[in-house]
Amino acid sequence: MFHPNAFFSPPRWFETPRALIQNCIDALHSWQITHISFQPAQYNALPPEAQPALLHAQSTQKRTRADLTLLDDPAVQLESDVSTLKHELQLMQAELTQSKKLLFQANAERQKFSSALALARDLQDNLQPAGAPKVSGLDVCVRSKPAHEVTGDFYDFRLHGPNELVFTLGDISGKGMAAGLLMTMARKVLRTSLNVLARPTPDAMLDYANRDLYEEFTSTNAFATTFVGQFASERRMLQYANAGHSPVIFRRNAERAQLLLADSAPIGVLPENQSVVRQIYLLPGDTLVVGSDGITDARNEDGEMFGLGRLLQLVDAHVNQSASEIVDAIFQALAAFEAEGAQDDDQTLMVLKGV
Amino acid sequence: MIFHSRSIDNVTLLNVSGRIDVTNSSDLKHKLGQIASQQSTQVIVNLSHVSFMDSSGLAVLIQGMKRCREYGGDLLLCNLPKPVHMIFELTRLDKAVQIFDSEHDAIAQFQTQRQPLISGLNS
Repeated sequence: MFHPNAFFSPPRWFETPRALIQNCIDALHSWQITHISFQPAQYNALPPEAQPALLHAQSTQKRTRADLTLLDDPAVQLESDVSTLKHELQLMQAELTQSKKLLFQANAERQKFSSALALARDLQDNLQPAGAPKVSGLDVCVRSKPAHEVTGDFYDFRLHGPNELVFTLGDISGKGMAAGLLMTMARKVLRTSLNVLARPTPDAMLDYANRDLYEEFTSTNAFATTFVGQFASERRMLQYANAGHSPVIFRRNAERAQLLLADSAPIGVLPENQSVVRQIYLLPGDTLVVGSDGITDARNEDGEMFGLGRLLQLVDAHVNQSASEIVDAIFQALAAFEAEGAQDDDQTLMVLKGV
Repeated sequence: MIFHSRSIDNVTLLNVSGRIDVTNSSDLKHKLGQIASQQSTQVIVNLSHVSFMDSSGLAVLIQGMKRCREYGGDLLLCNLPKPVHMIFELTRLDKAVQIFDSEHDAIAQFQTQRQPLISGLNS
């Protein structure tokens, strides 16, 4: 056996290329050599029959000893190819196992995330009132269709005294989980305002919520358009304040539906909001519709928006129907209009009808 | 969304084109953040080529406005197409942010804001 460095100085020939390779293998083992390379001049000096073998040795210098094979022997070449294929197959199998493991982990993560979202959705569903409380002189229906697992739209009903219904409907800017978290805050603060304010009129409730939420909404880059209404059934009077919310539609019986425009900026935009309270009478046959912009911004396949015009027409067209029938009609029209699976914003609709 | 920004007399003018919605409003947020990092607190956003804006886009502009005001400046809007102007009207955000018909008018607003300061310093 010779140290590989000794092969060429002086040149040393082997009887067959196999003998040379065997010497290499033994040398690698004895001297614990891990790399062998040959200079082109040395390579060219070898007998032609040894050259293919050494070419392989050169190209596989980082492999183990077992990879040194005699390439000019077809049987060994085949064995080598099979061995290489086996090795590659083993690598592929290992990769496949790893991929399966990653896929399993990703699925587990996704399931965990889906479960968390489902829990958040359940939480929101449980927090939203199941329906409107019964108040004399009023037929109320509300429905919400989130675009994602959690919604940024919120609504609430509270009885304030025996004959007074306070209701809110709002929409947090943005969508998804962040909006979903902020909506629970906004609704809770509005509910609290009803308990802590000496005179919880709709404008006072909005200003209270704005003061309370301004800092949080600024740090989270959000705002909430919010409508607050207070219906006193004995006088059939509805007082309301609107902080940047749209659409709000009022239809006096036998008149055309019209928009009730907001008076102040949404909650969380200005440090001090100057909300305005307005009042209307909600007499039998009169209709108030408060929605979220996910309804008017819904788009059809041509990219055309549902818009305020269609909503006003629908309110006019279904004037003789109950609150729930009006809600049904509007959601049916939306479903027919909106491109399949295209809903990308939460859609909430509240209809209050004087009866 | 495409941006083009330039500076005139300490005022940064940002032209925005395209749709601004939940899918890309973070790009606008990033752009306004870049402008803020250059200590520019007088910003005009020209929305003449914005086809649609949802509440995510509005929130980013409001955030930019709040940041500019915090440092003594302001963020003004100009050249709003009718549908975009309507969104500002419906949400009453036109009460919070100043909207102008042209870049010229918006720049003039910053100049008038500076005027009393300069005369104050001279006196």
